[in-house]
Amino acid sequence: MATLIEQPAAAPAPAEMPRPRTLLVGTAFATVASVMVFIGLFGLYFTERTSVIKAASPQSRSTAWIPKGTISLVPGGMMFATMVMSAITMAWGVYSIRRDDRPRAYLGLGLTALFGLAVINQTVFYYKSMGLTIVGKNASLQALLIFTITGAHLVMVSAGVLFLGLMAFRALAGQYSSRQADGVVAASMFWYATVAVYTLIYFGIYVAK
Amino acid sequence: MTITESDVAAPTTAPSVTTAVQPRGLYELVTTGDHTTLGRLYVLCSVVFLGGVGVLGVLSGAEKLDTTSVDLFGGVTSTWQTFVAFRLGLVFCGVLPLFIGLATAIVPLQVGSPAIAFPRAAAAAFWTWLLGAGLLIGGFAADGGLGEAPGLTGGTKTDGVALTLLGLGLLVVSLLLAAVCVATTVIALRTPGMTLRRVPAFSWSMLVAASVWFLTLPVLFGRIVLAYVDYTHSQTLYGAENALYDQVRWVFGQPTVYAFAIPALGIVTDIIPVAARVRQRLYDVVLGSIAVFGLLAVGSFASAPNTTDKFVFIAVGFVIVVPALALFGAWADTLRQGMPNSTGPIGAFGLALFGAIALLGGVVAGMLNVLKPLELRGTSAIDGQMAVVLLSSVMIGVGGIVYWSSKLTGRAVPEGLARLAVLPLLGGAVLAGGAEVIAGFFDQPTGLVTSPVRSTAEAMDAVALVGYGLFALGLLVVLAGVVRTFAPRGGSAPPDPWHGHTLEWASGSPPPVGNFREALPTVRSERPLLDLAENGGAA
Repeated sequence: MATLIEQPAAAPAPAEMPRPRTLLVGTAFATVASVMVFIGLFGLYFTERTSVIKAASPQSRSTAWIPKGTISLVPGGMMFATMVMSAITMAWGVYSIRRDDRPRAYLGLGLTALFGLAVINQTVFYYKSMGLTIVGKNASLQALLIFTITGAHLVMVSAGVLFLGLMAFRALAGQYSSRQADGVVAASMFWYATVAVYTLIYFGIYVAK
Repeated sequence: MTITESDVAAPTTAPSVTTAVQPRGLYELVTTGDHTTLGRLYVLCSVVFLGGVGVLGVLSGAEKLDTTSVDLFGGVTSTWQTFVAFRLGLVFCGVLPLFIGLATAIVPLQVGSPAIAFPRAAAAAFWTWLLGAGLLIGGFAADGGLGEAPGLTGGTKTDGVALTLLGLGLLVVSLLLAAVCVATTVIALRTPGMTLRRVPAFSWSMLVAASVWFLTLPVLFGRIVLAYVDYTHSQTLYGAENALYDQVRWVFGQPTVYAFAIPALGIVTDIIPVAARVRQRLYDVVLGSIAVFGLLAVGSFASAPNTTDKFVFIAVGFVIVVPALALFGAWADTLRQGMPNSTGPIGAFGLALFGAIALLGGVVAGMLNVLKPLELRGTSAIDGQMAVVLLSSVMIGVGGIVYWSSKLTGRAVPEGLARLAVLPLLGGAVLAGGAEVIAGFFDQPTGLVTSPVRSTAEAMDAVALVGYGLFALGLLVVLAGVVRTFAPRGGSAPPDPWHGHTLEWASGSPPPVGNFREALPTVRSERPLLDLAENGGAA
């Protein structure tokens, strides 16, 4: 008959130093590097913008950098809303996988990937509607910087969707659970950085003009 | 399995151990994720590339000798391309991959890990780097390079320039990926008991260096992308033929150039106490100084135009001397406790110590460069300082190759060859860089010299030429030593030929699969093997 209180068979193992997880740490480093690309480009963008605006006459300063009507705010706003929604669904996916709620975790991750694809589609549409070009005589400094920054963000979103898809497949295969959700958390870390970069693009480029 | 997966866990139990890893055939070589093999490949390729860079340095120096005409290479464009190729090659095909290679091979051993983090990513990084280097060389060979010299147009071919930019972008991305693998290994795969304060100095310096590179090289990558987009579309702004070099120029000046020298500080710190057979003194000060040196080397801000007049730029030029001197103080204090004898790693010690002295000279030259009254900005003193810092870093890196050669290939670089390389490498670094710094005092401009300068500056150019020649000769000696370690004849080196202090010496030479034959005991200090030797107890 078993006793009410089980005695441990041996002394407990000595406490080991908690180690950060490999994939999380690697993703954190990669995310920092990715964000630094944008910080460098934004630094250049704002430096150029400031110098052009300073050089313009006081009356034309508000439209000196990007002339009125060149960039419509509606598609950019839609993209911003999509990115914010994707951050929420991403958080939902992570929350669910940590509670072993697999159906909702798959739904959250799937929706996030879908929003990511929507942003890629919206960016392509936005490019076509912008009155800016980097080719030929009408090429401008503004167009070059905006297309490079948003194009780099497009690549970041694509990488985020791929990473997310990969982690979602692994979650489907049962690799991640409440005990070990590193892959999904790592993908979410990169995704939140993608959303943060777009927030800066939206307010710094599209809204502030 | 993809590169995001790392099947490496923090080592708590004895890993399965077989024999040393020796890929057989091209397929195994290309697909291997073994960190020792990858490190070996990096080191071998970077030494070969550095030899080529040395030849470019000699050619550039020869061109400078006759400033009345620029005709050694058939015109100003080719001369300019040689100048740019020398700089790009030195940093991205030489110094960085040399340190990354050493780190890929040694850091997992030092932290007691059975493998590097993300082994497939590390392999992908190496092959991408090699591809990038090939494209870069192809771009220059196709008369591309980074466009024309300032003020000139029309001398380079479109496809060649685009290829060069593509190659450079690939080099930066691949080196960053490799740095992610190394830094993650230090953070996440340390053996139990090894706190960050107990991490060996080289691993610590690589963690600091990688962190600084994450804050610096992506900014360069952004500029390369911007230049590529403009160059392939309108060629009017950042991608204009004579503006391309301006996008990368800041990488070769201070403070960014110091970021490439950070791992060298760790190598010196690892070699000196082992050669002197004593414990490193003031270890916390050493780790702190390396971190502060790294912090001051974050040079992303220098990518903006007109930064050389900014307070931050000038302040960094002065303040960075402090951690460098603190490191020298700690090394000197260690050497006061015991001096190296002939049974220790004398060749590696000589390369590391004299390289460090030359590096300190480079840091002091950097301080002079920011002093306004000296008016050295825009002169060849800038080029000279870059040369001293980078060449002395290479010299220390070569010391690292010699020191860890038994871990890299299983055989030690012959001690005689290592000692033979000290003088030409030191002389080369000091003469090549120092002469250009002195020429700067005589108003020789930075970059391409197309107009007559003072005779003293011309004399200094001749000295610099001799310096580059000596350095190339020293590298040839090292290459001969490295190639000898790859030769199949001769027995393996013992696991611990120098009575080392850190965990890499507890592994075999070369390390077996899984790196360690037995589970490592909990680490209780930064010098576990020295503890073991001194106390005869647990490390």
